[in-house]
Amino acid sequence: MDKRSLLYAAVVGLVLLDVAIGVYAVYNAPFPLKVTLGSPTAYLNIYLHIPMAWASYVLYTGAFISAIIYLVRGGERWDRLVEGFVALGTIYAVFTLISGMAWASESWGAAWSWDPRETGVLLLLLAYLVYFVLRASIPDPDRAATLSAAYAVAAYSMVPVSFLAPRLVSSSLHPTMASFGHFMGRPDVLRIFVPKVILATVVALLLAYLASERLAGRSAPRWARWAGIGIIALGMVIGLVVASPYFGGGVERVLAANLTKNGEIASLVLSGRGKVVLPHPVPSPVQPPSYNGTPSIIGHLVKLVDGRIEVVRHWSVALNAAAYPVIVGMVLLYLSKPPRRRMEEE
Amino acid sequence: MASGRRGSGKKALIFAAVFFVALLGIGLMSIKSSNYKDVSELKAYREPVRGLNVQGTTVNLPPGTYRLAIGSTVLEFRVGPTEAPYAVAKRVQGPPLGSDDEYAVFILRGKDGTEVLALFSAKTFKNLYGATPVMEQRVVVNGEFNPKQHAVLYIDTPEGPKKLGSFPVFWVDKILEGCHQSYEAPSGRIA
Repeated sequence: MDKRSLLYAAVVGLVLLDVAIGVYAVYNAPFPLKVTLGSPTAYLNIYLHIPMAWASYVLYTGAFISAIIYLVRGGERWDRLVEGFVALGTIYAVFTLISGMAWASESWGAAWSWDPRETGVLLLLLAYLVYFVLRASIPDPDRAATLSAAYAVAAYSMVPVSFLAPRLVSSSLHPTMASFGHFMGRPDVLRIFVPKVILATVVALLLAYLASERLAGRSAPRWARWAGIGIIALGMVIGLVVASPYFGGGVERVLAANLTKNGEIASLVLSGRGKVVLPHPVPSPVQPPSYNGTPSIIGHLVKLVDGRIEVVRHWSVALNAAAYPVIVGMVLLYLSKPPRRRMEEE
Repeated sequence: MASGRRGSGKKALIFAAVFFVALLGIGLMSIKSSNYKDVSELKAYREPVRGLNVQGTTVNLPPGTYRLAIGSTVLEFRVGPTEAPYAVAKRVQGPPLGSDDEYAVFILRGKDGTEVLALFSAKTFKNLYGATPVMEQRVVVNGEFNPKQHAVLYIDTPEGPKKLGSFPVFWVDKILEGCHQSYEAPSGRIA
């Protein structure tokens, strides 16, 4: 196997590991026991949305550094890297916005609220979209590369703006690092969240590098196409499995619950059918069963199946768990297309 | 293929640095202007306006029986045994106000002390938040503000109803909850 094939194999392996951790997080990771709005399971998006957001920041930072090096030292390699980083950064930023909106629709009451960070990421995305327009509009390749690299440096100003946005205003729906750190500092959260962030970032960087290689006319191995198709299919299966409780209906929100003395659920008040007394008390599927005297099951989306209570993950978790492998698979599929050779200067 | 001639590259870098600062300034101004309106800024409106995002602090209502008059419609609610930031009011007299006969009622106060009375359909409120949700002290709401519509609030006393005040009405479509409190809860798992 040559070096390029090894690199693609490493990417595919890391993507599969990343997806596996994502699925593990969806089914086993902790989430805040009591939330102010919506289903607590929507907070499982912590393990899906945030790693992609961080990866997009890292990618744009890569573009920023590569652009400066290109402007100072020249070299076609650095120009290709700028383009690769910006392209992948843009893809990841789009995913960040969409995954965030899906999560916000449940946990914030609205998919879009002009929250400062939401606004900041949107500005960031729009700024970098201009990079492609600028690049494509200049016929002279040298001039195009120089001006677009200069623009990539300038557009990076939107990264600190979007990152610091919650601190710049008096009210933001995004938490500050201080309040966020309280939950994220827990060992049972960190042991899933940290590997997820690292893997997502490494995969993003490798894909950006491979994209820059493709711009140089170096093609992917033929099997990469099938790997891409396989990863897309995997993503779709994951989405269908996580969303499967919604098929057939019967998903309702728990408005109130009565617990027995030993923490078992005796009855529920559901958003659809009202009060439901269970044939016999069942252990709470959410552990611990109560918090400050309030049953933990309240606010959750559930389905009653044969007297059992099945907690249903919010649909945004299914969407985001599926979208990541689908997007990465599509990138691999694109990278495996035979590249058009650019004109090379001798 | 682009080679990047060094002379023009350094000039472009200087241009990029200047443009960076300019974009940074524009970005910061955009973020600052995306800050939610405070309740105190609602004074500027003379006509009803929809789709507003407004932030304010909730005012705790002392225990008691209250009546709320909006036009010819009267709603009644109770607070107790301790003070609370909101209550669910039921229509007891007059025509319906909207799609619901029960509303979550809370008073929002702005930075300068301006107060509005917020009404949120109880059906939607309970569906989203559960039967007895905890409301944060600081909330951001989305909805319609009608400066021409006022709600008069009374509390029952042994001497009879006592007028507490007249408040412009804010019809809440959504409560845009910040998730800060969520992260302070302990962690849970699905067994």
